[in-house]
Amino acid sequence: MGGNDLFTGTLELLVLRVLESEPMHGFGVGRILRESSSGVLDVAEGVLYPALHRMENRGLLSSDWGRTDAGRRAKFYALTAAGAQRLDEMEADWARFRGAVASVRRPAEGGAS
Amino acid sequence: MNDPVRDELEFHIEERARELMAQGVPAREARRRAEAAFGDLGEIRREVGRLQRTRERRRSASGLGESLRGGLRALVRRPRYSALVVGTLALGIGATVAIFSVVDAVLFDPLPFAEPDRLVRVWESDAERPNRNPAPADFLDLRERVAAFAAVTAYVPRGASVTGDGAPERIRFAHVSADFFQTLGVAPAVGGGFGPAAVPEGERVAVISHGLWTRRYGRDPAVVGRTLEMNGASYEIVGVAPEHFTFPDRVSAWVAAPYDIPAADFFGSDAPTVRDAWYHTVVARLAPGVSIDVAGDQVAALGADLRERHPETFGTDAAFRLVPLGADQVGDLGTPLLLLLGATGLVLLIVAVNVANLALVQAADRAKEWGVRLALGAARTRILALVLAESAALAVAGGALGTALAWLGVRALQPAVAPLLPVTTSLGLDATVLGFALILSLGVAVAFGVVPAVVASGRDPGSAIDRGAGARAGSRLERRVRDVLVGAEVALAVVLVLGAGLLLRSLGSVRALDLGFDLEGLTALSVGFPDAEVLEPDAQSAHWGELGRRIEALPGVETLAWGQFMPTEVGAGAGLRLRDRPTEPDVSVRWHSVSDAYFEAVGIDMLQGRAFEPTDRAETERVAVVNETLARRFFPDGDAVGQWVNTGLDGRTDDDWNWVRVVGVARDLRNLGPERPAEPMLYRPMAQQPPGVVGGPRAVLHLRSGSAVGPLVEAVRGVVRDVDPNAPVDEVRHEAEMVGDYLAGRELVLTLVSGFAALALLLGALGIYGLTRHAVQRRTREIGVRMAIGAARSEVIGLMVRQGLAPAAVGLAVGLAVAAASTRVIESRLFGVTALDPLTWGSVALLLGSVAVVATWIPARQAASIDPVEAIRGE
Repeated sequence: MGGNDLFTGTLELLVLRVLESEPMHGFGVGRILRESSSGVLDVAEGVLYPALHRMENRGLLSSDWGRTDAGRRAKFYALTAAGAQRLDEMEADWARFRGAVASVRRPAEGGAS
Repeated sequence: MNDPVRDELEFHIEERARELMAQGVPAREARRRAEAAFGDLGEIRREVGRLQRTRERRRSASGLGESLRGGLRALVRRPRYSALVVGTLALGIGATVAIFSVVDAVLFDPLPFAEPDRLVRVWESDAERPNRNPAPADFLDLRERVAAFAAVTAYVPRGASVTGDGAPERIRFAHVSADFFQTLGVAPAVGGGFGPAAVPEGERVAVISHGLWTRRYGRDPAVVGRTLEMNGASYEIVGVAPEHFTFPDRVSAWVAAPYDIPAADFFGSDAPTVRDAWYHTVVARLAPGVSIDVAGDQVAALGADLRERHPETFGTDAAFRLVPLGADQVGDLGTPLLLLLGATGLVLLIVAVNVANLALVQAADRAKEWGVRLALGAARTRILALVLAESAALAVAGGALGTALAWLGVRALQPAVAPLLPVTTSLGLDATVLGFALILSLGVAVAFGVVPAVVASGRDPGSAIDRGAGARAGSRLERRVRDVLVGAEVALAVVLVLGAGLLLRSLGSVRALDLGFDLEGLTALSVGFPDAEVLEPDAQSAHWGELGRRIEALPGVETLAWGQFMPTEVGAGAGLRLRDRPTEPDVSVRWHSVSDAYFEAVGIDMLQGRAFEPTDRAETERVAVVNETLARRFFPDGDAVGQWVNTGLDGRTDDDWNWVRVVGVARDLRNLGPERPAEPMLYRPMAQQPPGVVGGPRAVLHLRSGSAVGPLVEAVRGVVRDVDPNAPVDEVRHEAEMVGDYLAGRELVLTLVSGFAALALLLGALGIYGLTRHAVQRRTREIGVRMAIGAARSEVIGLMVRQGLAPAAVGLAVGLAVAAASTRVIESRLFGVTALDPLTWGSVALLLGSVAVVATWIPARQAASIDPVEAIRGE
């Protein structure tokens, strides 16, 4: 799974989307992904954390230690300017990809045969 | 415990476990499942750890750049603070760099010659004259008999009138031996210059300066072969000197002397054998590989030989002395320059201290920011780096602005400094000066950056955040540091202001001195006389007399006289012999030929005998007036009048006619400045002036008038033009300018030091003000409480003033102590006042004290106007 480019790229897009609205810790990112996709996108912790750190290393995310609402110390991730730009690019790619997929007709529907 | 990866993952596991427990899973089982979700937790931890370390490495590599960027951002956010710091730094750095550029040009920059450190000035010295120039024959001996010298040149600076195309003008030129340029290692910019051998008598060749070439020849590239009309004679131009080269003495032309003996026209073909005229400056170039000590031994040997063979001229106690040309040229300019550099150094220190103080206030304001950073795990070193980076950014900005200011300052200083410089040096900001500015800026950055950085990084994060009791404890260290800084500022300011005060008092003492003549209403004009060489002394005298009569008829002229030199000029030198004391060693005296009304017009009192009269003519008995110094030294019994004397210029002593009778004793004229002792001086009537005397064919008109001098000078110019359209009138000096000649250097140093002192005072006041103001702000609540429980306004003011004044008082005491311990530095520049002058010290202490009181009182008054209710609620 880790070697799957499509999947890695998708996870990146999902993380960027989650963090676009507000900074969040890793646990929160995982939970939001799971809840907003009704459990479909249940990213394993062993994948999520290396991905977060890789994205931070690439400058897409910045991190800072802060307090959760409950007052516990946690590492919060936020989008950097580069991250926001990357999100826009990926959204556009995704839209193009989705449009392309949609425009490919199934053979069964197409012909009169 | 300080492993961010472990912390991050642990948080996740705990949260997940909490979630599961909320769903009813027992604690232990919840924990196990949360960990299991990671798969191999150890492996994940290691992988994430590797990523984290990669990031940290990269960050520390770009840490400096990032710190700088962060620093800049922080500065942009606080424009007022940044502007204040940059401005203060710019003033300090600008002043220091400007003065350094002058010091660099004068003291450190080599002379504009090839291998200048191989050049030495050759002096003769005996008991009477420690600095005597070599006589012509001595010069030739030096050249021929000292193997340690690769070349030896001699020169005499003179004045001349240049005519021909364009307006007549007076220039200085140097009469030089033909190898002058070769010896100095200077190649002409145009043409070949003089040949290596002495020019034959009658051959007139000249090298002109770049300035004269530009001014009179429009930079004609074919100027070689054209003629220079000087003193009524035509010189063939054989070269143009390089730009800026005007050595010695800012000359505009160099003329090759017959027999290589400069300015010895009077001696004709005898010149190479003359051993009793000492006005040739001699400069030698050391042979390759020969040290100045070896050369010194060789000239000592030559001196011993000359003592033996020419005891009557060289002297039985005379010897040669070698001085590196650089040191010789700088002369006594070095001390005031280093004094100035020291003063700017003090200003810069004050600036650094002041900025450190400002930075500390900032640090206090930003305590919370740093506390948060520390709490979030930022390394102390990182905060230190950030603060230092901020300081560096500020210092570089301040340094850049300061350098720009220095550039402007140097341009402004140039006209004031140029006449004081030994050689024409182009002041400017070269690589050395710019490098100095950069090092200075960074040094200051470290100096003022470290203090707040240490204070900031040493702060306890928790206390800084919640501003509880700890914040106050933390600020105690800060307050102590700030007290020390303000004290240091005051101490430094005390030293500078004291220095300025002492210099001011010295200037006052110099001004109050008697010059020996009456400056009021006196104007001196130099009038050239291009055809002088063809006139006999008597005819010359008649010419000046006729010109004088016409000028005297102008309205406003009260008295008028002619002389050879401005009252402030040194005059010519000549050897003096006494008829009745033939064994007396020959001594050099100053020699001045003047018209009969000179003493009256210039206002020099006669002490004994008579002044010159119109009846003293070329064919009448030769007479002289001597000054009191000469009379006292040679005729201590007061019987100068009636004695017979002879100077080298009067001709050979074997002819009775050449002996001159002293007819009067005049008061000393302090021609070297009021603080320098007068030299022995001999006056001769102009009508009896020997032909070809040093000083050139010009006369100085001394004019005393009651009316405005401007129109009068114009009228004089008109009269001179009528008589001789080629005669230049220049170097017009009024009384104030003549004093200015004496005082120029002193005034320049005083002006600059006073400026620096004022700056120091201002910065010190700002420091005290800032300290008190900050204390007031910090203690708003406390003051409010005090006032609420009934403290009077005056008590509050008193409290705050005391707090601000304590460090200032300590600083004042320390400053006075330091100044007392370092009086030696300034002593040589003082005149008529001791370094421990009580009046100056008292005034300075009073001044600094008053400034400190005002600077604390203003913010302290604000404290008293605090509304207690607001203050208590506000906290």
